[in-house]
Amino acid sequence: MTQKKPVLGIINRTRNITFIISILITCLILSSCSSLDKSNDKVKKIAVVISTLNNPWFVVLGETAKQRAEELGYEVVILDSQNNPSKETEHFDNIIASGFKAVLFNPTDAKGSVVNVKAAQKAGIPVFCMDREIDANNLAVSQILSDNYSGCVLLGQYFVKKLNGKGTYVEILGLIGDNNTWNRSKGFHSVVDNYPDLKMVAQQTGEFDRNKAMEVMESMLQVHPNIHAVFCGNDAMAMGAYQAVRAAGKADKIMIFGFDGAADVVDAIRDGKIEATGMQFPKTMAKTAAEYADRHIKGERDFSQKVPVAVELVTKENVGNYIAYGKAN
Amino acid sequence: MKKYISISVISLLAVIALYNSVYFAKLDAKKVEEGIKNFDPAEKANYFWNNKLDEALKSAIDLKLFDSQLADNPESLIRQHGKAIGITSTYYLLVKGFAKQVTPGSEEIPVEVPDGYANYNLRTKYIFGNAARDATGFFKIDDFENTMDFNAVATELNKLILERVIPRLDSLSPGETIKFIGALEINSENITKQISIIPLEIEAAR
Repeated sequence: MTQKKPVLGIINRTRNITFIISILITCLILSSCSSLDKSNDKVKKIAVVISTLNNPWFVVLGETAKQRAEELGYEVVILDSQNNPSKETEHFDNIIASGFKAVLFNPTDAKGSVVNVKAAQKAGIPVFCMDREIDANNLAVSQILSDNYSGCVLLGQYFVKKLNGKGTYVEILGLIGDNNTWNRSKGFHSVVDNYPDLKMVAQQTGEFDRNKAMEVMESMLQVHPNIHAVFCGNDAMAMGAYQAVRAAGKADKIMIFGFDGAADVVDAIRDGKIEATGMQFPKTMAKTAAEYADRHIKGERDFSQKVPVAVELVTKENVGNYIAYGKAN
Repeated sequence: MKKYISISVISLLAVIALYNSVYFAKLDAKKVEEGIKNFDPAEKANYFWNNKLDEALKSAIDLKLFDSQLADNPESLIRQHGKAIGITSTYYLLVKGFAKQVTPGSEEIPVEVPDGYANYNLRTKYIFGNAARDATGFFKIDDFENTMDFNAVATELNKLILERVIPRLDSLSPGETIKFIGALEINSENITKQISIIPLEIEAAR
């Protein structure tokens, strides 16, 4: 018995030391976790998800949103959905898993993107749509959108004026699943269809893509070589249509109308190659979305569900007042 | 015998499992049952026209007053009476005044404001844009699921103007005085002196 006591004492002392070391390690781990949390609190992350970065207009939208959010103190990541709803869903899965505080979102599809916004909302991540809308209320905190319909009412009036209310024309639509496509087309037709001597002889999608629009225009010209004008749902397609018209030797006979306010089209209007465009303000939309996200993160909850941003008509007469994606001054 | 009993039991179980798992129903009925209803812009526009328009028109300001305020203090005019949606410098207002009928079927009727600051015309053939929808302030964009529905209401209201307001001019002879209430738009950053008014109500001023 007397021989065993020291052995037990050593064992007990060893257990005590082990116990104390365990507590110290636990404290150390907890303390480091807590300091990690604090570092996360210091730099909050915002994701900017853009439908496609293959169009300079959307690059401006995404970069402006990033810049404004960074100015407001956030760490920002831009993600390109490549016009692919599955890719967009992957981005949202990663965003939800990675602790982002907000998403500044340019959707690929008005209906298809709803599921992603719903998932983010369920995860407690506020979403702010920019330029393109989703077909749902009360999922995104706010949707900041161009007033495409009114912009194309202005374009429609100018179109009628330039054609003196008569002639034949074709229309190249954007993406069929995007509300902007139809708001633009319907705004335009709400004016032009009042004039029975203006006849649309073909309407086809160019998917908001320059090359696709060029191909579409080439085929349209083969069937309708004597048209007087073409209305395009965005500026990239207007430039594609212009290439096709010029290649066919009809650049001085066919008037081209676009929508966006992209750099090359503003220049083309100045040079008399394109008649007019609807100037959208992507920088205003992107900055507003970033500022709304910041205010939401700081606790504000009173936001309008939809915030239309006015579109202005740019023609040869007033092109001096504008630069790419905005006003000159 | 055992075999028949097994087949009967299996058949009975199969019938129970499949019962009502596949059935046919009319899509329209199903949508109504589930509360899904296609948005009808014409219905929305008609409801407003039949039930809310008269009340909305009471807020119209006299065109003479509009004109003098436009000349003297447009900011105050817009602040007091202008309606806008979103980030814009375009404002919509309701005005009331008088004009003289011209040849029926004309595109527009000039509206004279003695010693006026701007020139006005009443649009009587081509009706488009959002003035009729937005000047009353009745329609709120957040009440609509998407902007296409919101814009479709503007189109339907313009159709109602063509169907219900403009034809009233047909019975009036050139030179007769018209009393009107209408919607107009102005841009606070670029106030032009040529202003179009979309008529929402027209009657002979006898």
